Amino acid sequence: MSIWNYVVTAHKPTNVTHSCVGNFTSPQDLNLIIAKCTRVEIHLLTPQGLQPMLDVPIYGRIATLELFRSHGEAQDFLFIATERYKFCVLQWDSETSELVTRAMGDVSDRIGRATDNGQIGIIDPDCRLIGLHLYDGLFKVIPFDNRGQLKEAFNIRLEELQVLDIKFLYGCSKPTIVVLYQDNKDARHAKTYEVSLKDKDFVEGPWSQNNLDNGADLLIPVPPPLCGVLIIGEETIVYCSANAFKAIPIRPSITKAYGRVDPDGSRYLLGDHTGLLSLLVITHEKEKVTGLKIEPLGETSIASTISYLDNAFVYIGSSYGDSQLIKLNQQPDAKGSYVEVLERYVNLGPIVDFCVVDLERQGQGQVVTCSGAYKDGSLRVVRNGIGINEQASVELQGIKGMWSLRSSTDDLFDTFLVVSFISETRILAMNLEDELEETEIEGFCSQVQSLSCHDAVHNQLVQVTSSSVRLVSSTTRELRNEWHAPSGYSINVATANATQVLLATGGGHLVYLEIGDGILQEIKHAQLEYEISCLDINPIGENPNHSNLAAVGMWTDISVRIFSLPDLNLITKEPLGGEIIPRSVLLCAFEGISYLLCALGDGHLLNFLLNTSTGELTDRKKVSLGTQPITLRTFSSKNTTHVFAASDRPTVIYSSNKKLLYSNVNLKEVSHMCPFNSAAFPDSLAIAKEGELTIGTIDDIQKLHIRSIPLGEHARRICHQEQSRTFAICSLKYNPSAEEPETHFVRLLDDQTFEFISTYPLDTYEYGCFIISCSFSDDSNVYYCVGTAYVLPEENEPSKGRILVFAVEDGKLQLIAEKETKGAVYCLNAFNGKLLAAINQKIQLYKWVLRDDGTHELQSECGHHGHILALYVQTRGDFIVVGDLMKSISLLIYKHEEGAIEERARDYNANWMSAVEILDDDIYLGAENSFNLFTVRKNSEGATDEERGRLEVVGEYHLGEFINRFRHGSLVMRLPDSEVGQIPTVIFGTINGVIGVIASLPHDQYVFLEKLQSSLRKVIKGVGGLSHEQWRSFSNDKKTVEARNFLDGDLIESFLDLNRNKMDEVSQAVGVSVEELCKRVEELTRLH
Amino acid sequence: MVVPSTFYSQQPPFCAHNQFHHIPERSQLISQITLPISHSSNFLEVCCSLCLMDSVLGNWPSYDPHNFSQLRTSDPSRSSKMAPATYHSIHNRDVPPADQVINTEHKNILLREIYRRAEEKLTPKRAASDNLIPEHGSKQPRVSTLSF
Repeated sequence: MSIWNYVVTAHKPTNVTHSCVGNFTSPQDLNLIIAKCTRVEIHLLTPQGLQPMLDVPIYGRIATLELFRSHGEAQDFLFIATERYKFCVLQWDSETSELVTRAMGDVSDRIGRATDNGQIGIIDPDCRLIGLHLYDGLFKVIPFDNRGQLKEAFNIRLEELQVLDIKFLYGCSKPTIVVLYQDNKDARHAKTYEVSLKDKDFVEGPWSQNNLDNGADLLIPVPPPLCGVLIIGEETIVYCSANAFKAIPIRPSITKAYGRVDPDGSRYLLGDHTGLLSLLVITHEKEKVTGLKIEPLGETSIASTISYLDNAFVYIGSSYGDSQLIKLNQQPDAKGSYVEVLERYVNLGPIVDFCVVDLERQGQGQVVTCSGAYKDGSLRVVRNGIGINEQASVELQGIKGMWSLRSSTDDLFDTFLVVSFISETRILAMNLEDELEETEIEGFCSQVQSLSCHDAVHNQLVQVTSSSVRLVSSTTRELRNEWHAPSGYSINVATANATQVLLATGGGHLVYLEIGDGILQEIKHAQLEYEISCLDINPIGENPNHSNLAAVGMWTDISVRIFSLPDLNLITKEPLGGEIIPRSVLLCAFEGISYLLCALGDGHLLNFLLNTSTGELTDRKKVSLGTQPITLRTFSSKNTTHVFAASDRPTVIYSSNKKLLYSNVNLKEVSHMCPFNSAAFPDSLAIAKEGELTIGTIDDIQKLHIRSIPLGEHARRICHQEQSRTFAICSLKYNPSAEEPETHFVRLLDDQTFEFISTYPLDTYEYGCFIISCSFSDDSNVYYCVGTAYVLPEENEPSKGRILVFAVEDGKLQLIAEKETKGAVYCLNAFNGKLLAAINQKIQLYKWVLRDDGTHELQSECGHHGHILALYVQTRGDFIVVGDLMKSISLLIYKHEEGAIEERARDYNANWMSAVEILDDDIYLGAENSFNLFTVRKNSEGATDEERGRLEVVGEYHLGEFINRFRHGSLVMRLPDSEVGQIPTVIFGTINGVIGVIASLPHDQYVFLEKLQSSLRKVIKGVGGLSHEQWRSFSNDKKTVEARNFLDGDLIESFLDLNRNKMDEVSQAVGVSVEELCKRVEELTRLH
Repeated sequence: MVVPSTFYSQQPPFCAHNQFHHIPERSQLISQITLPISHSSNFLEVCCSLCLMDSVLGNWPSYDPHNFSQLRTSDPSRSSKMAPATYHSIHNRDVPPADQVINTEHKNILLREIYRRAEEKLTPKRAASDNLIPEHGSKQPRVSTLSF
């Protein structure tokens, strides 16, 4: 690995932090707008449900997301404030479909202590000002003028230092806030202030309310006519206004989110920490509040945000589980719940830990994450590429081609599967027992290789061999007509559709035939100057049985040509460049756009936009799919057409949002593929690979596949053991009603079924902190080692823990040894046949000793003090890299002869670490709690001890994500002979559910991409005017410096989303052709 | 199709707006609810909730009655996979008008307070009627604002 790193998102954030509903994209549209930390999603409410419109990347972590309606406007504006003190106001221009920045700015102060309870951003309901509480003791005001324009912001001193919530009150003649705060005796109160814009100060407000519920944490302002505010506590809910006070007791619960139901504010949905959804009702008479009522409705994911949509449908955004679309029913279901979950939206966050495994043993990594929290905890299996679910397979060597045929034109299903070999053609068909057995079509010639077969109109079948074209009745299976190649010429390539046949013989002869009822008629013949290598007449026009265009690939001049049919006039000739001949051409249409795909003999694929009326080819793009010749075929799955590219690296080409995407198929090598939609195997594919014919269905066509395994408890650590084919997890189960609200377990899971097969409960107060699978010197067994901590309520830091060594025997966890430690075992590593543990401040090495009675025990060998808390440890050879709670990274070395661990070097910055990884002998990667990434380098060549004792910071970058874990590995199958296969990668998982990849690039590639990145910054601008450079600058409490030696892969890969003009613009700035840029960026997308 | 004698025991497919079906539903509800009483600590609570539910769990706001009317009820255990297109800002309207680039006023709030006081001393006394809120309008400085 190297110091030049490329950071890219493989799975976008899914943790929903904010949501709001309003008329954003037009005055008539009702939109749901969702914030997923660094992205905003805009959805449209439609009769069919929620329709996703846009996913907008924001150069910042979103702290506030609010819709508001400025005076005299017909639609809402979106206010976004970021955690790094930037804000913007966005407006949707529906004519151009663009997000326009109405206003933006920086609301940071030079001096100030950031609030402990997060940033608060609120907008006055009468749109007189925006209020921000970003620093303790300060309330920032951005006033609106009477035209709805923002004016210079100013601060007001806020006496309350421990603010829990601030909201604007409705129906006040002057903008009025209510502040919920805690005093220095931990009592909670609410107080109101009027904001005097003229004096830039607060004026005492109309009321205050002292001594609220000790758990009061949330304010809900009530709109007119009632006005006032609801104060949500853990045991009471209070309604407060200048002239009314009502309170009700509630079942103890922590309310995490609320959503207003009625515009008049008489009903609210409340979501609590256990996922219980309740309805809070304000009863009122003559605009006077008479009381409050709360009713439980049912269970949802633990909500972080609730938005009432329309017609009893509600969006539940979650940070701890999948977000949901629910419906509120008027009648309860069998379980008494009024909540019906209609859709789930995957959320991987928080990813607390994960491991990379190859469960299917295909040489491809899958990520298994510990996702979610509390009751919504789950394991998620994340896999790149498209899987084939094998239904049947048979050993067949030397397949040269395959076609499926129907027994009549109107038949919905395929009956025959024609398999062609070098010197014969065999026909398989489904028999009554749904087995594939060999059959015969009498009219077909079975002693020779078939070049092409197809269903034809009038219940006919077509077979093309090297000598003739045979037209056969599909009902009688008898030959009806035959066209013979002129003597002395043999047919080399051929293609057919339901009414047409196009073939090429040696000498560059191109012959076009049409199919009638029992008739094969030669319509046209053309002589080309060179030999023809491939052909296609796949109908992409209005007539599904007839094509007006033919695509022809040529030897010698290496070109692809478009001919018109039936007259075989040359319309377009496109030289391909290079010396590799085209091996497969395909006319296809995706999402209403026509393409010509042309696959070369070296695994490259060219694609062109095809103008079907003029035959013109534009927008040439080139990608590398594999290294062997590619064969292209279309197939459909779920009523959508896709292209299968069979090669040493099989790929499905599909279109999403009018952009061609390439997704790996999780098979090693495929020589031929044809769709085979039989009654027994509907929607299947027949695939020829490695001496085998397989029939299987294909996964949904998308890049990442996620399988959820709900656990109902919170998995915190995971580890895979190849030998026992099991996973082990450390998990905890919450049971709020029990005496012990948390119970911790070590659980063993089967790695195929993911069922719990064995459980080891930990002691009371004992937490599972880490788990590894390892073996020891002089012992051939493999063990799971678990590090634990006794978290006693009276202790600040655990002073006791255990290391438990388990063996898997008969599918059971068997405790083999245990060792008490003097603190929490935060990390464990297999190290030189021994066990290296990080225990509070100390790194401790244990050896595995055989006792006289034949049992083993862990015996302390040596240790190293000097950390605040050694939380994350990685090892390589004798080197130990420690990530400290607050002292960044240090490097230790184990000295065998002396049996001692010594510090070699450290990074003297005060980074609070969240994960570390060793990239190579000299370079270590760290993530810290201000969402930054950095790399440090060991300085072995330093002149002095002091220099050698310093880890030099060589790379810095703001990721904007909290990383919990790094693991070496790859999400994609790595081909050693491809360029991308040489690039080492590290995978990371974050709180927001992001799975990302850090790839170490060769220096020249880094330099090239850095140039591309800076050109892209000028073309793709930050939404809301936010700067990409500032966003990616390394920033924590101590310093902010420009990013270096890290590249933003997300920005670089968005090059592929640009239109041609913008691509040209970038291409000119970089000085590299668009085609070359596309190819190089496309290759990078294959890293994840 | 519906035999009258079994009519009441049948759950009608859609009954939200049909008064006729209220009676059987209610009785059905009560029979359901009597079952879990042993688990529930408060019988009254259950009964109240029953009455309340009837009145509050209806009339959900509707902005467009068509919204969600044709929602296909897919299997909720399968997650929704529709991915929206990624938006890229490639126009030049990402920068707001110059006067809409907002910053905080440079004057520190302590200095602002001092200047304000100094100005107040210089300006002649305002008429008492101007001071709408006596506590604030009084010349007596608030201790809190001085102790910044």
